[in-house]
Amino acid sequence: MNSDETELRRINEELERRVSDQTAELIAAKRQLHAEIERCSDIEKALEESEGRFRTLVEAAGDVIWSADLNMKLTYVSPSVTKLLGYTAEEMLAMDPLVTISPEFRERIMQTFRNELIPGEQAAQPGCASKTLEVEHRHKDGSSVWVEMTTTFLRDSNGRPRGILGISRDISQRKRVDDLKSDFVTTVAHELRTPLTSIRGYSELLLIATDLTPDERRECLTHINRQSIVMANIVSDMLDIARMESGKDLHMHLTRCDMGEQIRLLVDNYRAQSAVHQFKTDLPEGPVVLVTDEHRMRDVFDNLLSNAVKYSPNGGTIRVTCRVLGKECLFTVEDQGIGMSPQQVQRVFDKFYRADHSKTAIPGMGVGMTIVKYIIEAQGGRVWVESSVGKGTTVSFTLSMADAASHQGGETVEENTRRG
Amino acid sequence: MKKILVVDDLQEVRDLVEKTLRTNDRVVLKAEHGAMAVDIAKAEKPDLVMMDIMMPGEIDGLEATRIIKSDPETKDCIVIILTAKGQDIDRDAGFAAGADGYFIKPFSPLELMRKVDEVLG
Repeated sequence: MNSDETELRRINEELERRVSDQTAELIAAKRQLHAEIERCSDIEKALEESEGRFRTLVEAAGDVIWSADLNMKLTYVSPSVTKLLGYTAEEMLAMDPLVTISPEFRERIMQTFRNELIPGEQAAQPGCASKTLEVEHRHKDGSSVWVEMTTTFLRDSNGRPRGILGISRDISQRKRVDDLKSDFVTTVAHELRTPLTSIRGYSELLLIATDLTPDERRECLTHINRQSIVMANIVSDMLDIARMESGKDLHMHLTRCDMGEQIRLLVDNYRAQSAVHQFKTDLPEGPVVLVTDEHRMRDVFDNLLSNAVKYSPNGGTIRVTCRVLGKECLFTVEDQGIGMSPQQVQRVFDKFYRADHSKTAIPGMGVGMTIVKYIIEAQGGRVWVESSVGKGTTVSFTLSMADAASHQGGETVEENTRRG
Repeated sequence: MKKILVVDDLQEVRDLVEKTLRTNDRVVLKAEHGAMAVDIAKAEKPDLVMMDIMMPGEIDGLEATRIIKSDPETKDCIVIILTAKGQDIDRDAGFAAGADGYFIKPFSPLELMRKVDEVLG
């Protein structure tokens, strides 16, 4: 009996130990499972966060980010596509995206992709085979949009292409500037040819012609001299533009000077050169003393007067006025010429812009008004243009008067300052 | 007496061409735009027209050349274009308009003299 009892107790204890062991195991397993679930949910959360981060990046990017399958059917396109092409992302996904590409570029793009799809070569170097193309698109409204398109193939683990990932950037502005620049080079070359014609022609004539009178010889030399000054001015305009391009200020050499006197001298000069224009000045009686860069202000008036002459081919009155309004001086140069449309007025200060589209008979590089604006604004003044087609143009600008208190009469202010 | 018509909107260039081409047995006439060139060509029937291309007004040098070369009364005038437009495409347009020669500014008066002596015989 005793031994039976002992055996029974042992079995009982054994059972209890096993149950307790298994319970402990179960509890451990449950804890592990719990930890595993928590870990998974952390990963999921991290993934969600990460995806959210990338989505925000992609959706906030100014460039259009897209993916497509190998048949160029879009599988994703970022919302900025609306700004680029006028279509919503949904519209883009539903349509053939090649429709938005100018026909002459469609084949080129497909050819690029086909070359990429030749098996073997590119697979060896996944990821690094990105291609950049400049492509002309058609905006929903029909206008032209230039896009720099960079594409990469998405590949599976065996290196086989699965789809295309692309970034499309709007480069229309850059294209416009490039066009203006190449126009500018042509224009400068042409503008240099005109004075060079006189310089080369008259100098060669002096060398070979035997029948020139002393007066004619002098005339030839006068032409050569005058045209070399024209060329020097073209070069200095180009340097000013280059300085403005690189964000540097113009060098201003400030002195006290009587602008009234300057205007009279310059207008007399113009009066002597044109028979079809009447030049009138409306200036204050006494001197108009300003602290300014005399040389650059002469450039300003020279630009404005030569424009007035160029753009009133049929003559008429060209009037220069100056009025003192409190601490400011208001200057205007007015012509009765061909005038400009509101669209032309809007662009009049753009560099390389020329109001005459023909770019033929009226000479000029399209930088005069840009330089005028720069010189006036560098001295804290304002400049504006009023014009009406067929009636004429008035350019007005303000400069502040010399401060009599800080600069005693007659004293020269010599400062080489750089003003912005 | 041979008659030469010099067409250019710039007086300085007209004078230069005149001084370059004048001789005792030539008369030099001048026009400052295309329409004037066509009128003078019709009235005076010059032997040679030196034609600028870019000039103000409705008729530029190319159009004036076309008119002169297609009018039976003036088609025998020799037209030499003298222009700052120096690209191949401009030259092609000049010959397409009927021009007999094409000089680019800046030009050499000596070369122009020789060319004109050659075409006027």
